[in-house]
Amino acid sequence: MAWKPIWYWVRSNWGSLVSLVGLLVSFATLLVAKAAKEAAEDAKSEARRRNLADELDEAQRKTEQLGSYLAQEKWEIVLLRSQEVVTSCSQILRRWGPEQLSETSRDHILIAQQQAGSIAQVAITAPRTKPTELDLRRLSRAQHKALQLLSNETAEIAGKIETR
Amino acid sequence: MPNKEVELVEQLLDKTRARAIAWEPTARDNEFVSSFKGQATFTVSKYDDPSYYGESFKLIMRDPENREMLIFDSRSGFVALDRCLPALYRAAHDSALKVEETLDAILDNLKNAS
Repeated sequence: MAWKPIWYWVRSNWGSLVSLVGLLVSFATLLVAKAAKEAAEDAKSEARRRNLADELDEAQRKTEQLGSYLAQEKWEIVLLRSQEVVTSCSQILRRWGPEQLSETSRDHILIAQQQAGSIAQVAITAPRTKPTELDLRRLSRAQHKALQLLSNETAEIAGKIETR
Repeated sequence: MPNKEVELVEQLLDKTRARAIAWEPTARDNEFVSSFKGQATFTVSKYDDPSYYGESFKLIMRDPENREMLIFDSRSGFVALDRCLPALYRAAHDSALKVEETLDAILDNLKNAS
C-alpha cells in the first residue's frame, strides 16, 4: 500500500512535524492578534472622530443660535453666544491635532473663531451705541461666514465617519 | 522694534499682494482677518486715534487660543511700521473685497459694450 512509506516517514519525523504545526499555530495567532489590534485602533480612531464631530456640531449649533439672536438684536445673548463660539473653536483647535484636522480645516476654524470674536466686540458696544443698518449687515455676514465654515467642517468629519 | 517683526509685516504685505494670503472682512468696520497655516490669525484694522491727525492702523497676531501674541501699531513711532501697516491694510482691504477682480470684470464688460 502507498500509505505505508508515508506512515514510516511520519514515525521517523514526528518531532519535526509537531514543530511545524506549532509554528503554523503561532503564525496564525500572530495574524489574529495583529488584526485585533488594527480593529481596536480603528475603533479608537473612529470614536475620536465622533467626538470631534460632536464638538464641531456643538460649535455650529451655537453659531446658528447666534444668528437668531442677532436678528432679534438681543445683544447680551449675542455677546454670550459669540464668546461661546470663540471658546468652542479654541478648544477644538487645542484638543485635535493634525491627524484629525488638516491645515485647511484649522484655518477654517480659526477664521470662524475670529468672525465670532468680531461679533462679540460689536455686541459689547451695541447696548450703548445702536448698530446702524450697515453694522447689522456686517454682523450678519460675519455670522453667516462662521456658520458656513463650521458646517463645512462638521460635514467633512461626518463624511469621514460614514465612509469607514 | 526687532527686525524680525518688521520682516513679518513686510512678508505679509508681499504675500497679500502676490495673492498667497487671502483676507476677509469681519463684523467690525474697517477690519480684515486672515489665518496662516492653522497656526495663527492676523487682524488688520484702521481706526481713529483722537490724539493724532489722520488715520491709524493696527495689526494683531493671535494664537489658536485667541491670545494676542503681537500687536503692531502705526502710531508706535517706528518708521518702518508707519510705512508698512497702511500698505498692508490697503492690500488686505483689496483682497477681502476682491477689488481687482471686480475692476477686471467691469473693465471687460465696458470693453465688450463699446
